[in-house]
Amino acid sequence: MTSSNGVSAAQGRDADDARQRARDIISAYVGHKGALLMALLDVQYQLNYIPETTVDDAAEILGYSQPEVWGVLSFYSDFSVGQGSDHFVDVCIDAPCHVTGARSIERSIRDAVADSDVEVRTISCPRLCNQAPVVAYNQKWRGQLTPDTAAEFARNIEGAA
Amino acid sequence: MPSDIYNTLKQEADAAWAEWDNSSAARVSVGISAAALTVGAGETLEAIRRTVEELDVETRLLEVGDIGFSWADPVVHIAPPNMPRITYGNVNADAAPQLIRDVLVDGNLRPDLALGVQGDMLIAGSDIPLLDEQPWMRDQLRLLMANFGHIEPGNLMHYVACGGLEPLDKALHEMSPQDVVDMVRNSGLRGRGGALFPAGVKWSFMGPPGPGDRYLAINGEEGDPGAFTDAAIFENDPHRLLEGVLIASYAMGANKSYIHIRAEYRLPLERLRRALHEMEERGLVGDNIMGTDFSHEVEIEATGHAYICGEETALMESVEGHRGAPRPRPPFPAAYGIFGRPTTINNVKTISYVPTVLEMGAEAFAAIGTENASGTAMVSLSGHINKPGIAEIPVGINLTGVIENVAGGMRNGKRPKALQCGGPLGGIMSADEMDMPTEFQAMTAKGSPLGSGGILALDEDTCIVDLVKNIAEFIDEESCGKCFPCRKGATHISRLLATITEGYGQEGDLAKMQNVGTAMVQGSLCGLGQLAPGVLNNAIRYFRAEFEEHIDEKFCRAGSCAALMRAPSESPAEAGVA
Repeated sequence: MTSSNGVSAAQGRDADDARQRARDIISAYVGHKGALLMALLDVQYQLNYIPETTVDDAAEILGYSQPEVWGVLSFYSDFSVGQGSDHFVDVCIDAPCHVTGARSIERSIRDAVADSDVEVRTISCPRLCNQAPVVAYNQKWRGQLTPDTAAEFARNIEGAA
Repeated sequence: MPSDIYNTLKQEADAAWAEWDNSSAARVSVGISAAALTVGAGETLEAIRRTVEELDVETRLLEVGDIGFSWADPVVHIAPPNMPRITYGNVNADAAPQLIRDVLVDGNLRPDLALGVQGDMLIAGSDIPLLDEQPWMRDQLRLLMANFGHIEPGNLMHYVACGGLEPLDKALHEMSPQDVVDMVRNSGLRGRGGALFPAGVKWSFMGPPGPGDRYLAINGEEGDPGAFTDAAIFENDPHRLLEGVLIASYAMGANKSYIHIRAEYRLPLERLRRALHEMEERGLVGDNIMGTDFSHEVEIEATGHAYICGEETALMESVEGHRGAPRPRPPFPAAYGIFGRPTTINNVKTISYVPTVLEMGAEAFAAIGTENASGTAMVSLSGHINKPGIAEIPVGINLTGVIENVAGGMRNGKRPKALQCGGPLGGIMSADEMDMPTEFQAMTAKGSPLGSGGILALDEDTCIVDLVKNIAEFIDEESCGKCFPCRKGATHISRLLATITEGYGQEGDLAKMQNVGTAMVQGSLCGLGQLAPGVLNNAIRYFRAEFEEHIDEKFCRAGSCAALMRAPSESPAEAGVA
């Protein structure tokens, strides 16, 4: 959590390159018991998304059926299949953040980035309730926010157009 | 008698510790955790690093774990030469350089930022109080948290210097596996994942060792919003967990452990991996541990974000790399577990107590806490309180005292309204019931089980219906979908609560939701469906009038349901943030 993942997302922009990187990551898990979930998580956290081609590739490399791969991808909320924005802000909306103002923070961030390519997502608890309410830019979390400081945080995202 | 292998290790560790904690030099340590990083602890550390380089005073700098005072993050500890350590709070990167210079160069101890002096000796000529006597620390008893904020997390030498691995040495050289099981059973240690099953009894289900693999799985899923103690152990003292894993595996004859932790917990995962790597390199995990016949392999399973994986059979599916859908029981994990082999699944905290139990002895451990649950409770404090953070208290101390002292009381001078404990599958109680022991069974009877230790405190401006709706939405999202009553029931309850908060509630809705809840309890395979109606039922038990106001009068007294507001006003729940 100490470093931003923005760089690797940009590197993964080229689809063929991303596909090959995903294949390389998955190949390292061949022969490992129970490899499917760990291999897919590794792809997600290195590329920041799961290329669509990875469904076929993971099935082929690790010896699963495509529905089994889809089953895992759709089950765990870590995964985003298909490349979205390179810039995304996550807002936790579970109970401890909810009661300390997560909804008004979400509104304030959406307003602040309305004209940019920043994508705002509401997500489930990252276990930082002691600093609630929390938001993240590319998995780097900020805590103890108010609607004003959250908007300032969102406006200062570097590289967003 | 400690073994020669241990003695050699301890000597090396003591030397490494003396290198850091050299009292003739100044010592500065900065608490780094995922939580502290969200409010700038990383920037504070960098600012201090630059300042220290410019000082003429010989200064040691160390990255330590989180002492638990999240409300005071970033936290910095400073010990001037030949003086005790002083803990400072809210040291942001702008304030840090001046603080370091004031304390170490000018001899100004900065009582304005000081939280307290560590140890039991006051500093002459200063009115900074002892940390342990502060209201938020006075009632705490730190067994699992003993090293929090004190050592560098994942540094084996620091862990050993502070007493680590002596219990493991004792277990392997002086006790039989059955001795260890008996000691844990006699200590009264119960499962801290929330179910409170006696740990020693659970271990004995594994039966005598036979040929083939036997596994221990550590449940670090801790999916409850409002609970963050397991992650804190991974993050601040991973060796304590690993030592517990080795002792428990020795007792059960397990040859391999799986430690289940979410891949998204970057810093806890990084520190756990560092800790394991160092133990493997030193032969403390692997073949013939500490020169004995005991061999053990540990695998860290970095898994996905899915609440259901905290359920033990779903966790096993997840370890095997599948969707985390629960399996029917029987067969129980002790007979047919991970990859079909005998498996015991324990919570992170439960296993982390094991070295402490061996160190203290069964009787001394059993003397802490209550007859029903011995030891301490590590609690996660969040919500409308002045001091959110992590604390550890003896089981059974007064709950009002916990909220008023340990949690610092309600913020903005508000009155407490309710406590939501034990996560989304726990429950809720009215603040009027708070004058009671913080005890697992007693809190369950009040409708708000402590579970894995999450306490979410809610002030008088909270809309209970809105909170219950938020929790119902969480359960709806996290139901794995395998059992029909849970899948459909969770959706049904969450939709009914939405219609109520939008002003379309009808007479009979409460009974309808409770009926659906009963069907979920009866028709679901695992705890998620079976415990799902706990918050709803107890919210209705204590706050029925508020639900009825929403339904009958289309009125939200807290002013947080936008459709049910009579006069324009800002939502108090949100106004409380500013």
